Amino acid sequence: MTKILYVVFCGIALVYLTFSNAQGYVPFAARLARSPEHTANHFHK
Amino acid sequence: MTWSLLQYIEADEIAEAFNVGVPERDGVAPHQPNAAAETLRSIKIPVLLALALALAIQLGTIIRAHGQHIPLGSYTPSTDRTRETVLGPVHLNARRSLNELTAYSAVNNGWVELDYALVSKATGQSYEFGNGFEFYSGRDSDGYWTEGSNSASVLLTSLPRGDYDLVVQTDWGNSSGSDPQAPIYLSLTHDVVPWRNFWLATAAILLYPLVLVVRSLVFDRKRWSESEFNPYPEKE
Repeated sequence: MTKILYVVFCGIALVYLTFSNAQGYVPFAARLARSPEHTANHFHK
Repeated sequence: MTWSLLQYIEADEIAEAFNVGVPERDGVAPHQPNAAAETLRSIKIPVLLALALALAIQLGTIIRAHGQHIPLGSYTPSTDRTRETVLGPVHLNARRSLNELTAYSAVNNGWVELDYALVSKATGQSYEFGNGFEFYSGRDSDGYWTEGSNSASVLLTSLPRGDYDLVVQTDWGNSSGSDPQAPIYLSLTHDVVPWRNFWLATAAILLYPLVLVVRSLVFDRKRWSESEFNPYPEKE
């Protein structure tokens, strides 16, 4: 049972690695705030 | 000399088989199986396989990553701190990518704080973030000293493919109170290799085996503590 749980846990870690790498995601990076309004104001200056 | 071949049976099994009460376990028997060591042996192949797969995934990411260095340009900060500088456009090739923006300035005894907006030319959406750096130097009785850095980097995650402008607003200060002389250079490394995910996955894979190693060692120490040939020196 322990072995199965550990294998599942490893599977989750590998899926996380695959998808986060593919998405160019890393934790603890710059907090990006998305604001379309700011952009509109900027281009209208 | 007498040799005995023993098979360890758990106290619960004895109690159940003979319907008797068993005393509470005290210490570790010489032939008592090390449960942590046994579990560790049973997961050895999954551990190695998971580590090999993590390494393969990371190697695939390294091969796929562009790692393209794009100089964005330079500018001298204005005394008007509300003024925005627009750099670019910069084209990001990868479908979704991790990017590293680096700012450098030969500022001395001063600081720079940068507020960025990375603006998509196609959608008009902006990604706002900031960073800064400070560098001080001087000479005292111990000699020349420095503190801080002349550059700072920031990681931008999951940026979609497209063309972007970088809008920068700069705040600065220096100990002399004079106008800034040193220009600020900005560059972007597009589609850098994300290492944090790999280290996190590796740590997650190794966490349980490491716990088992510690538990196994503690168990063995306890077992040997009963012996007069204890290889682990006891602290007085």
